[in-house]
This record gives sequence, structure tokens and C-alpha cells, in this order.
Amino acid sequence: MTESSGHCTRAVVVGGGASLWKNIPRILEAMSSPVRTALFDINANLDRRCHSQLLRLPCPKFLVYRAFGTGEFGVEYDRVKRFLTLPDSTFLCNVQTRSMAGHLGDRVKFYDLSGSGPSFSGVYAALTLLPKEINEIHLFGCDAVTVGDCRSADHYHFHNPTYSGKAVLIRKWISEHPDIRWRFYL
Amino acid sequence: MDLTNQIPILRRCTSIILTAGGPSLSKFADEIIEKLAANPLACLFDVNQHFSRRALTKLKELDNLKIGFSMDLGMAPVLEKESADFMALPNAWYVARAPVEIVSKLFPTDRYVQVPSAFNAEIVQKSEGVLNGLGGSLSYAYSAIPDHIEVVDIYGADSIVSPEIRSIEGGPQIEATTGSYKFYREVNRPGLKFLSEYKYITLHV
Repeated sequence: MTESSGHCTRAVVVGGGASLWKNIPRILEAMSSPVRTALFDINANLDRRCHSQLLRLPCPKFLVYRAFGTGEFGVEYDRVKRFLTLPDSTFLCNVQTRSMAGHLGDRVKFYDLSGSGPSFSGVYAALTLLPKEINEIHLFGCDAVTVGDCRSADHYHFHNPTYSGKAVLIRKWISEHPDIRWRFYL
Repeated sequence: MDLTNQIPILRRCTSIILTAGGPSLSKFADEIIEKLAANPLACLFDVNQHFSRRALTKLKELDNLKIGFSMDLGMAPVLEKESADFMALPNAWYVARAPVEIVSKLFPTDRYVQVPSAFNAEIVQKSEGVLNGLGGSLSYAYSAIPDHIEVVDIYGADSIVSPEIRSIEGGPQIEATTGSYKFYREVNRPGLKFLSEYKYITLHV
């Protein structure tokens, strides 16, 4: 993890569940708190909805892109470049796609994110990368984990059975870290 | 169920703090008290008195509306002392499905509201002579959140996001994949999902 997250005790993790739209004001409020907070924006779910507001927030921001380079590369690439225009922003990329992200500069950090297996989850990857100083995690748009709702904020009726596999993985992680204060916003 | 007819003061409340009985509840005890103290119009929904039995002294100092919920009250000798202690708190009400004549042996019933179950909880025999409405009390409390309330904080509902179900009272953790405990989750996740369509819900675990 980068130095900029070193003083943070709180993380805001943003997934892509259907409740994300409703909660954007609460995310911005959480990130404006006096508690030093780091943003972990999965797939740029937040940045692509409120880039101009994020430009005004000085806190450290990390983009975790699910399987960067395996989807529509042009779209993903543009999202990463846009995210990296934010103050104190870093792209946390899967080392397996290093060749596709290597030229993005020194604000790209590579990690082995293959540990979550076939049901790759950006949220899970973010949780595994959090610095040990983080003792409070606010999760937005993680509806599959809480209420088993696999609709996404992008496609209202989208339903993907693999989401339940991801949810199992994340729930297990939560139960293995009982000292952290987990706060899910629905 | 719409409790605002039976408990008119509930109409004045602006938010609900709902406490269930998962192990994470102990982590948040001070925070819950602080939230209630900071907002006199926040109402406590205390499921099976898991929270109030741990914070009785502090709750005595708070005038917030407090409503106890249980599917089990009156079904067996459970919660007898806890419900009576709860009803001795200022501005305390109780909602259960037990008949008034049974509840009247536990505490005065002028602030007791009898409501049949909104969700079909599964009744199980826990041990000789002890029955439980498993999974019911939490969903029972969900279903009592009035329409005008937009902000709900839920504490101690660990089973929603945890692979196992454990109680703050201790005991072995139970894989929540079969039988009654699977039912518990199958009742509570849809209830929470329904609420989240209309309200701002925060689940603290």
C-alpha cells in the first residue's frame, strides 16, 4: 500500500450495487469527516458519477479495477486516466495485467489479486490490501453482501449468479476480522 | 404493523436505532448510547433486550422513546426479568404477540402493544418446555419501523453479513446453512432489502 494511506484509520470502499446512487451524498459526507479517511473506489464506480466533487477532496484515493484489461479496454483505460487526475490518487492494479497498465506512470501499484479465485471481487481485493491501521470500514454499494441483491448500479436488472460467490468470500473476511467496525450503507 | 396509532409519541421520532443480539453489539455499546444522547428524537428498538440488559444504567438517564420487541415473550420463561427491567426505563414501551393476561404477570401493561407476527417466524423447541420464535424478533422489529422514518441504524445483526450465527450471550457458533438458522437469514435479508428501498439503512457489525 502507498505511503499516503499510512495515516488513515478509516476506509470508504465503494462497490457497484444498486443502492450506490441513493448513497452518494453519504459517501461524500463520510469522506469529508475529520477522521483521516482513504477512498477505495472499485471500478471507478464513484468517480464516474461524481468526479467534480472528488476533485475537491484532498484525502487519499485508490482505484481498484476488477480484472483491468479483460473488458472493454478503451473504456477502462479512460476511467483509470480520469481517476488519476484526482488529487492523491493511485491505481491498484492486478500484476497479471501489468503489461497493459505499465505505461500509466508511477501512480500505478501492482499487486497479486488472484487470491479471490474465479469469482474475482474488487471489493474483496480492496479489503485484502487495506493497511493494518484501518479500524473502521464503510462499505457502499455492496448489496450482494448484505441483502443478497445482485442488481448493479449500472444495469438495474442485471443479475449475475457469481455475485453470490463473491459475497460468500467477503462475508468470510468480515467474520475473520471482528475487531474492525464494519458499516454497510444500504 | 403501524405502531404510531398505539404509540403516538413515535410520530415525533426522526430516526430508529435497532439493536439485535449478535456478538458485534458489544463493540458498539458506547456509540449507541452516544447516538441516543445526541438526538432525543431517536428511538431505540431493542430486540429481545440484548442491548438494554447491558446498558441499563445508562439508558435510565436517557428520555428517548424505547420500544422492546420479542417474538418469544410469554412463550416460555425467557426474558421475564429483562422485559421487566426494560419497562422500568423512562419512556419504555413493549411490543410482543403474547396475550395481555400473560404479559401482565411480568410488567404493567398500560404501555404494552400486542401485535401478531408480520412475518411467519418458525417456532422451535429449544429445550424441554422452552420454545423460541427463531428469527422472528428481528424481522418483527423491522416490520414496525414507521413510514415516516427515513434513517435507521441497525446494530448486532451479524448474521446478515456473517457466515455463521452466534449470540452475544456466547455459546458455540452455528453454521447458518441449514434448518432453523437458515430460515433466520431467509427471513431477515428480504426484510432488510425491502426497507432499504425506501429508507437509509446502515448496518453496523
